[in-house]
Amino acid sequence: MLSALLIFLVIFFFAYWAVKRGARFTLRPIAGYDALKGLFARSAEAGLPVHLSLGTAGVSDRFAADTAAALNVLEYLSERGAVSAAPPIVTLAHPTALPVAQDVMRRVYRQLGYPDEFDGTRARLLASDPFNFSTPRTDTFAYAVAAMRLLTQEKLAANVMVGHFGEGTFLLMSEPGAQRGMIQIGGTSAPEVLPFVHATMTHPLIGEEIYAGGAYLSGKPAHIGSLFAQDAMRWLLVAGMVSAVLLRTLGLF
Amino acid sequence: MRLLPTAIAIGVGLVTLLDYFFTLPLLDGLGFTFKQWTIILTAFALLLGLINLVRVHLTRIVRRNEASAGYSVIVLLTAVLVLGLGLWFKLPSPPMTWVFDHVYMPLQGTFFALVAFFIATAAYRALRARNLETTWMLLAALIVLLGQMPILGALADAREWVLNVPSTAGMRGILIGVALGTIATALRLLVGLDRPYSE
Repeated sequence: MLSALLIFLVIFFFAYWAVKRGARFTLRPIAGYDALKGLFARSAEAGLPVHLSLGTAGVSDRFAADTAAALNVLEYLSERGAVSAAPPIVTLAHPTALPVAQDVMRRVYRQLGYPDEFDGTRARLLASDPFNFSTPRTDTFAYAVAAMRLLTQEKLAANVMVGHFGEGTFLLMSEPGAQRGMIQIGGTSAPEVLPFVHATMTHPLIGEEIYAGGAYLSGKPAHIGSLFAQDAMRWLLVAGMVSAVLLRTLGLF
Repeated sequence: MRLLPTAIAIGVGLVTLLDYFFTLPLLDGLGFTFKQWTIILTAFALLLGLINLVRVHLTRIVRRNEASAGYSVIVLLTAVLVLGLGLWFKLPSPPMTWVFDHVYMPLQGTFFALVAFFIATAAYRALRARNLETTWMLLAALIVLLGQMPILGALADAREWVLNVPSTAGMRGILIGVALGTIATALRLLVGLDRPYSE
């Protein structure tokens, strides 16, 4: 495990260095991110905000990577929202994600030169799981229901859902939007939720695609480098699996 | 000062990672301490969350012209009531257990029941045979559904094959991808190249 991590680290730093030196990698198109880029023309024209859900996980649990992926999307949406004067409405269910989300938004407004325009209440902790705050559960219905109210009653340009979700939570939040014919972009890493992602999102992000947001939306060298390292590791894993199957079949292993 | 949060994040992340791989008394102690700090920080984050909730709903009530401001009054009253009960009677206590058993759980059950209807409408939308891709999905869904019926025993083997071969293979592929994505995200944070926490 440690050796795999070290190999990953070496490939990642090599790719990061290469991108910094001007190397260009071609990224395959992902419809969800293309749609996200086109969203703000529509949002600004209609004067309506985009809803972004950061999911039910926090920044200190085993699904923290999903929240980190959602924060990359938040950064992009906040940049576009600040420029178009239609900042996104951000909802979340885990208390540890709230200060980080607010910090991301505050930083974007400060960098763009509108620090006074930042409104902390645009990021909202709707409801937290009352049973256990340290471990995300898949039945955070209080959050899902509060978000459902927002999605059915507020005028929104689109609904974006990226992060960790349970099956019930995701469906309760995404199906009302689908029934309203809303533009919905989103995904999660949990395989058991993916059928609902496919059924309710107009532009689904499947599994690991949620982690590619930083590379597709902001094009930061670190994100492109890590995407390259992911692909390189995937090839190594596939080569290892195929070799093991062949050796086993030939009775050499 | 910009370097301080990054240095703390890298330091704490490295110690926690090394604690996972190696068993050393110093690392074990530090790892345990950091986990305790996480719990304390989560509790304070919850307090910030409560302040955020009150601000959002108070703003809605003060503006009055916003739709459903009445519900915000109910949210705030309920929050104050439950918080008051918790502080007064402590946890666990019969009044708090009563609130969970007789208010929260029935409400949760009600919305869970709603999921069944949502599954039906989502399935209707997803399983319409619009193109080759969705036709395959429809076919797989029909085999799995019908294969569960005792009267159609011939389809039981086909159902097992769909679940064990293409479905499991796809799921494993997704899981490997997710694991790699998680490692990539964690490494970016660990080496300080992705900093959602600082300027």
